[in-house]
Amino acid sequence: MVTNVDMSQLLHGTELLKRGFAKMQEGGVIMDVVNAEQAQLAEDSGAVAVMALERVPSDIRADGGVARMSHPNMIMEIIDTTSIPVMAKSRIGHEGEARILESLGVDMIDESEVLTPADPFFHIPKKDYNVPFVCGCTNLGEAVRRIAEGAAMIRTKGEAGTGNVVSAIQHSRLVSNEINALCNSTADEANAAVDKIMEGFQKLKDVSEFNINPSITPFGTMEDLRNDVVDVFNEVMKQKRLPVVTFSAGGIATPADAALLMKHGMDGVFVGSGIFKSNNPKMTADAIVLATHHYQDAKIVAEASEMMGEPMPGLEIGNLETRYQDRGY
Amino acid sequence: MIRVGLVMLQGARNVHIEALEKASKESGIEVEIKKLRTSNDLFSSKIDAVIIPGGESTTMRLTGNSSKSGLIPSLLRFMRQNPQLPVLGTCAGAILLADPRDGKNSLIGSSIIRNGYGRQNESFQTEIYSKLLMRNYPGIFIRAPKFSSIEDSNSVIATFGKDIVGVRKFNRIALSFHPELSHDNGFHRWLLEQAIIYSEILA
Repeated sequence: MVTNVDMSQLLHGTELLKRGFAKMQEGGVIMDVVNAEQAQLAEDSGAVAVMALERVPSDIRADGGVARMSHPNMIMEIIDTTSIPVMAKSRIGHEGEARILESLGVDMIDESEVLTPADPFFHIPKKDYNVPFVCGCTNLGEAVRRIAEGAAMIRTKGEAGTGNVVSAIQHSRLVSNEINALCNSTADEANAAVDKIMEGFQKLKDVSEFNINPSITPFGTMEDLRNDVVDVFNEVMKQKRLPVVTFSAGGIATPADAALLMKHGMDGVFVGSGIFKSNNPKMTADAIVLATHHYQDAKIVAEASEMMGEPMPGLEIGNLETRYQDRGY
Repeated sequence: MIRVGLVMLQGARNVHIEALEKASKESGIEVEIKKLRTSNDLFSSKIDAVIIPGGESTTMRLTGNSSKSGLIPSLLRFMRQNPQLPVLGTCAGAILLADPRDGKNSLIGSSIIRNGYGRQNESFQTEIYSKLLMRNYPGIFIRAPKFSSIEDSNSVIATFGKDIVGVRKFNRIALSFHPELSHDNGFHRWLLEQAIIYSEILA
């Protein structure tokens, strides 16, 4: 696309460009869509990006079985339809899928627990890619591991496909309280926290007959990885927040839910099943964008709530057969 | 004390706040940031300068033109009534200045193509030249728009090869890259310095 310029002078896929892309999403709503028509509706309602997938999480949950990356034709159709960024999901640790999505030209890959994990020990080495990644977390340690692996954006996992916001709140509170507590820690306490964070990379040990711990990981040697974790941990302590844009996801179904998560200090929200499983998707999409933007003004959030018809039906987390939030390491 | 109105419709606001604070420290010009979400915020803030950040222009147009906000129509009128008001629009902000869609001319005498430099996999960093700052500048282009035509070649304030990446009309500047993501706060300093002059003329 670039004309009249010396292409050799250009740097692509730097951490600054990846994290910078995520910053452009701040204050926005990212909507799950399953076809071009829904993508257009999302754009017309003010979504900052769409997540292209074959089935929304509540359908994946209902259908069961192995959930994989969406068909490339479906992703391409959405890329060709919408002018806003297009994201797509790969399975946790599935480099095959991630490389396909990168080659299709998606703007960001979601290494997502909503799909069935492919690697039982490790996530994708995201620094090796040109395309930025967003990853889920349930707590600070998981977030630090993902950022150390190269994630340019974090979303708290919540519990996708339930229309139940309780897990989203749990994860948001855990991350912020853990950051607050560790900000006042001594050098020894910080070191112990890093040790704890490193345990998440040692899942192979649990299943090894010899109880071995690998010295080489997809992210380099265990020692390099620890240095990266320390760097991210120090960034968190310095900024008193995650050093990348942090959205909330998993269970947001109403304008009030979106406003609540924004009040918790989230940079924006992902809405999955909540829009297209409601009885009036266009109104729901408009209302959630309005509430996310004016979350500080209860009157406007109330008006957004009035716009809504029936939200999606909700599920109790305790009764779920599979908790997606438990996937990932 | 300079009051800078920061358009909060959506997008990378926090990095502009950081850049403004650094520019304030470097220049010794005290800054108060006024967050603009609605037309009321604009009318009650008495601002000396405006920043329109990067983000998604489609989202900003919707949130800013909605009856609950009304910020975009009010801000466009305010800018047209006060051509000497210092304004910095980056990326999506540059799009809103170049293509205001209020039935009137471009606010920066230039047209622009959204995502003219492609998708995220074509986003790039490179050194560019700024005529306004009279030095090379770190250019950070993210799904960047591209200036397609300009009314007056004297309005060019930043170039990359033969490409125009920054334009100025009156005291409004529009950049297709992201100065707020770089370590060089030159454009934010320029905004504060112009705002001092502007506030003195008003006083």
